[in-house]
Amino acid sequence: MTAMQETVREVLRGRHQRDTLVKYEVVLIINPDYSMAQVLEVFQKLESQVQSKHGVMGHSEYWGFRTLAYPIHKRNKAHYVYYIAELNKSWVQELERFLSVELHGGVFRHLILRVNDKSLGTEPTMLRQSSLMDAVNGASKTVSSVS
Amino acid sequence: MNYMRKKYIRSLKESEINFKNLKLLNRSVTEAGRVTPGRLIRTDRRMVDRRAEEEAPKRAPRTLSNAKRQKSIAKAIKIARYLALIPYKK
Repeated sequence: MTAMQETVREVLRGRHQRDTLVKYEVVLIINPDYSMAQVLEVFQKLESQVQSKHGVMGHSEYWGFRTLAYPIHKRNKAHYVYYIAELNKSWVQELERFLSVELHGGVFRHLILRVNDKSLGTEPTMLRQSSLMDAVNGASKTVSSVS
Repeated sequence: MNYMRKKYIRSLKESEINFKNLKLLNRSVTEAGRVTPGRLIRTDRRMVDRRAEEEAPKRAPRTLSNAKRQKSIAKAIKIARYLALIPYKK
């Protein structure tokens, strides 16, 4: 059987939709009272969620501790985390539910957007300040030097 | 009609109309924070996808019509407003 015939068969069996991974970009606005370690915790919870659903995590970026254009929950600044994940379409709703319900105090706003542009994952975004690991490590370094 | 001069935005690639491209978005918004109407935004007519250029160099460069461009800019502005990257109102 050719590859074409196999895909046709899978499509007819509905398996194609279940197995293909679509790229999504996710932006999170995280509680400003959270330290960098807690931000990393939030990110790791999401990572484990994505991976338990057989998704693939792409880059992650830290857009900084930005001033918001208008106060959210009466705060003027917040952490911004951005990452790209490849998920199956049907798991997106579950991820959103996870973001809004389980991470309730931490994540103020979240946005999951489908990415159609194939060149998106390769270059860093315009708003990128540093990668998430660098930001977390940078913070922990200053703490240890103070003590 | 001098109250709103045309805003010139440099040549744009289709992939650059993004909610992350704050430089573009801030220029497509009035002083009050509202989206500028399409007829007052001026860009270079050519907006070619880099990928399309590499794959088929003989094809004539695609241009994005004003309506499509305005819609994608407006959509990007609305997403950026939700994410507090741009205010709703100044």
